[in-house]
Amino acid sequence: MLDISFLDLFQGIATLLASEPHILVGRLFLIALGITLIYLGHKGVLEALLMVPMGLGMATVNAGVLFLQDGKTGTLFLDPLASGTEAVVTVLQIDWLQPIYTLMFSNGLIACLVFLGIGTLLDVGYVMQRPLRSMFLAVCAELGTLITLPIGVMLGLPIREAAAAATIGGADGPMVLFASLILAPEIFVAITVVGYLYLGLTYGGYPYLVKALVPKRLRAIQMPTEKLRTISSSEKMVFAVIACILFSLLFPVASPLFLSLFLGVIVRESGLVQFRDLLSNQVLYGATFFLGLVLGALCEAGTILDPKVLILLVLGIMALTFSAIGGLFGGYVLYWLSGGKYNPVIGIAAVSCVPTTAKVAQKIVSHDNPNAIILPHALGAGISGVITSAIFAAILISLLRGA
Amino acid sequence: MDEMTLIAVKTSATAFGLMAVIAALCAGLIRVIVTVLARSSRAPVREAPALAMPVRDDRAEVAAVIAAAVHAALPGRHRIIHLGEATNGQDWTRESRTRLHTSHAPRR
Repeated sequence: MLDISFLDLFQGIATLLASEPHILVGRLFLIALGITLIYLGHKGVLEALLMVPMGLGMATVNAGVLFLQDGKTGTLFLDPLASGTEAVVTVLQIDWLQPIYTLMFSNGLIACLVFLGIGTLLDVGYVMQRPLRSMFLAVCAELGTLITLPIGVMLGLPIREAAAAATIGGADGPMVLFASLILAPEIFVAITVVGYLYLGLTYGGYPYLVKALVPKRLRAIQMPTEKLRTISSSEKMVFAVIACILFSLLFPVASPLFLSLFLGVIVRESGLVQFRDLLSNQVLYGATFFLGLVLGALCEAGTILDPKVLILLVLGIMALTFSAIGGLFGGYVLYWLSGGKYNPVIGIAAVSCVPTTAKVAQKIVSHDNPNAIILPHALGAGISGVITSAIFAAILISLLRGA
Repeated sequence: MDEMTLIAVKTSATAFGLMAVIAALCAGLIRVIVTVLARSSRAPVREAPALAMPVRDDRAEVAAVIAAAVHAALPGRHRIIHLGEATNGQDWTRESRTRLHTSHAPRR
């Protein structure tokens, strides 16, 4: 009869039993969290496009831990800690997601691909019709980043890690990934996962915040009809070209992001239908899928369990909450300046996260006044939020890269 | 407040201030682009040269000459019941109506 050891045969269970208690609990917790993410994504509470692959990746990577050479444990997914050319090339030949991680994550390519796709979805005409109001709201909605950075340092994080965590306040997933890869490569996985988790919650959480801070009478304000000139595609392209070159001139460190975003805008406006379809479908959704999957696979208990994660959880929710409060404050300022004609709920859309927050704003307003249409204003504020988030992140990276 | 926190506050405030200034400049740039391009798109258009229009002549002898010419040109028995000014843009309608009316002619 064969001498089969149960634990040698089922190594996932063997590594579970052989691990230290906190890793054991962590793995079981992350498996449960992964399943929860799939469920919440399926139910529409969280963003399904990201949470379903991330949830299954997270659950599976924590189940599929095995013994490697020298008695070490690991997975066949990827090894984010591999360093040095030889080690990386070796892992590239073994771990199936390692090529995507090494060639698309570590250099920020995946963030740029997502930005390319987002660019093709942005109609900058909404900003160009109301540039001052949109930009004002977007600046106010960066309050979360402003406040979270010093609080992160007060809680014990090094300034670069605190700055990377603070970019969650910009509410832009690719931006958080890009900034944390440069400023805090050691904990970029935790920061990005926390960022995306909270961004997924904005759709469900922000309506409660708006209802708490804006009374029903103001939520129901109907925006006056404006006689605005239609912005032509040529004008949008001129703006995109000038802004891309100007921002890249100011912040070369973030120029890949600027190029990606504005290239998407230009492709959209230039009528290159083939490119637009490619970028807004295959590239955007392909990148989002692998972003979710690799982020999930990076959540292996041995890698992600760090006391800093608790701090990041606090900082993430704080950053997004303060950004929302800042946006609403900006909405109130415009309400007062316009003599009560401006709907302050539009401010919530300035927290970037296009187009989720704009849809949230319109949904809240429509609930209180079905005749009130604020979506064009909200989209303008949201697109401005993308631009200000990129500028803020670029400044932080430029200031702290060498710190 | 310790030194690191103070540095963090300064860094954050500086970055926020810079971002606000650049965002304001960006808004101004947008305004300039929109204004300049709007002006160029509203450039005065040259007036099109006047086309030679047919001269209207309502005299009875002219109508009689036209009626006589038509009467001579058309074959078979017929009667001219109306002479009117030609209107542009009705050729397609007239052609369609003619086809419709002549497509169901059982006695032809």
